[in-house]
Amino acid sequence: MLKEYFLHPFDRVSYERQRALSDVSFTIERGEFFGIIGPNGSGKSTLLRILAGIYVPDEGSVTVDGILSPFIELGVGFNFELSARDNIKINATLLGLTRAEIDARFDDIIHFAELERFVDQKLKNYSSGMLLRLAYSIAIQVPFDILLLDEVMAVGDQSFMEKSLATFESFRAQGKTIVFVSHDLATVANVCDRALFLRQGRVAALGPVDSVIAEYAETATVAG
Amino acid sequence: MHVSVVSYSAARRRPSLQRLAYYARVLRVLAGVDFKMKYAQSGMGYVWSLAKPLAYFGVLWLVFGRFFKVPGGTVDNFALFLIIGLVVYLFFIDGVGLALPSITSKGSLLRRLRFSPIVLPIAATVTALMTFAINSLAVVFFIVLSQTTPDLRWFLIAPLALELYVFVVGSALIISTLFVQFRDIAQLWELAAQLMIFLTPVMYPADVLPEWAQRVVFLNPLVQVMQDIRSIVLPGEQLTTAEVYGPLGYLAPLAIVALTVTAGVWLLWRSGPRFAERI
Repeated sequence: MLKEYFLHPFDRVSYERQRALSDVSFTIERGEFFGIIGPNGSGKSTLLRILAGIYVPDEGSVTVDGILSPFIELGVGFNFELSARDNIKINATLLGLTRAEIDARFDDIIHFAELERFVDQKLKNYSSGMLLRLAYSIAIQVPFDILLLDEVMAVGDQSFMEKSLATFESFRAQGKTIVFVSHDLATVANVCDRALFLRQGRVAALGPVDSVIAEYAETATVAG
Repeated sequence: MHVSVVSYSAARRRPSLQRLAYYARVLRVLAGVDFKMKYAQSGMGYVWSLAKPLAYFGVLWLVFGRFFKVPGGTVDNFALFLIIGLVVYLFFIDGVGLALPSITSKGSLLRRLRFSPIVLPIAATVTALMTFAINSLAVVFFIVLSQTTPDLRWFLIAPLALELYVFVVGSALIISTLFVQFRDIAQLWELAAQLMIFLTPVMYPADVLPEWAQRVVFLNPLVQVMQDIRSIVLPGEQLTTAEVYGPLGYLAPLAIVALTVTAGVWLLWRSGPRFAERI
């Protein structure tokens, strides 16, 4: 990089500006289960990361009223050379839990993830399904108001899907909010109240989940 | 149940006390993991953390204490003289060296969590601090061996160590941030680290340097700290900033430390929010 600056001091560095998102505005109500759908490259992950405060928008603002727990890609901070026991401490701390809280919830985490026999094994020996169970199990222990779920859930098996759907039910009863990014339209229709259809960084549809999914399905057949 | 209203806009936001407590916990976990990975994984483990500086010391003592016979007083004093310089030098090299890739290597973390990247180079310096603490045991060993009696001046070692740490942190912040944009920094650092052992009076007494060189070298906070600690602990005269510049001379290295930290914090504050997209 330094080399380029020195060899061509008079060239102007040019970038091609690409707008990942344009004019995206929406409100999510407390206790709502909100889906975000759209084709690959439409900006869903970017949007989720902006909601989570990971990316900073060039224009506009985000207001989040409550504690937000992001579940974007498996197990933030997971170190595969260490055991599940160590990784729970790392991941849970990164997600916001204190040492006391981690100690108190440790058994619940292992139990929900069904990993009692593997607690002290290195994470590199875990299957992707086990990793998902562990990561999700930790994420739901964080006392969140809003849960952001990215497309990670797809890796789970049938038993995990059922388990996580059951947790959604308890979240709904507790009045928690979920923002769910997924390609799995069936689950989105099943779980979400309203949805946003994102296409090429713009809001293509926003409203009750069934009508938004219908619009998405329409454009998919037209294009395909 | 704690609820917070968090507003992210293109403008800056100031961290709350809760957020700072969070970063303190993260810092402890990250530094602990780094230390564990660095030493617990290899066969020699923690032994290696002491073997390295002792090996350095052994060779330098042999070459510069025996073969070259650099004027440094008696052999015992030279050993203590050398180990002090070495431990200070190694702390700086270790701290900055670990910090260099600390942000880029944790790209996965920054992409998945709302995270202030400043924690990463600081965690690296904390890992280096732990090694420094272990190395200091070697210094204590040689102090005991030389049968020096401590006096009140030894309390000054604490603020000197603090100054050293602050300088390491500032340098760590600068280099880790620059590395995100300019990968060539790694090459420059490698070279600088190697040259620095000759440019700082680690294995030779500062008074062999010509006056103009002394004036240049004593601007370096590392040299100022190294020489001050030596003059406190060792019997006999050591050249310190006070002799080269007068007591006001301390303002120069202290100003450099302050400048380094300010520059590091400013750089991170300015470019930090975009790291998640860049790395």
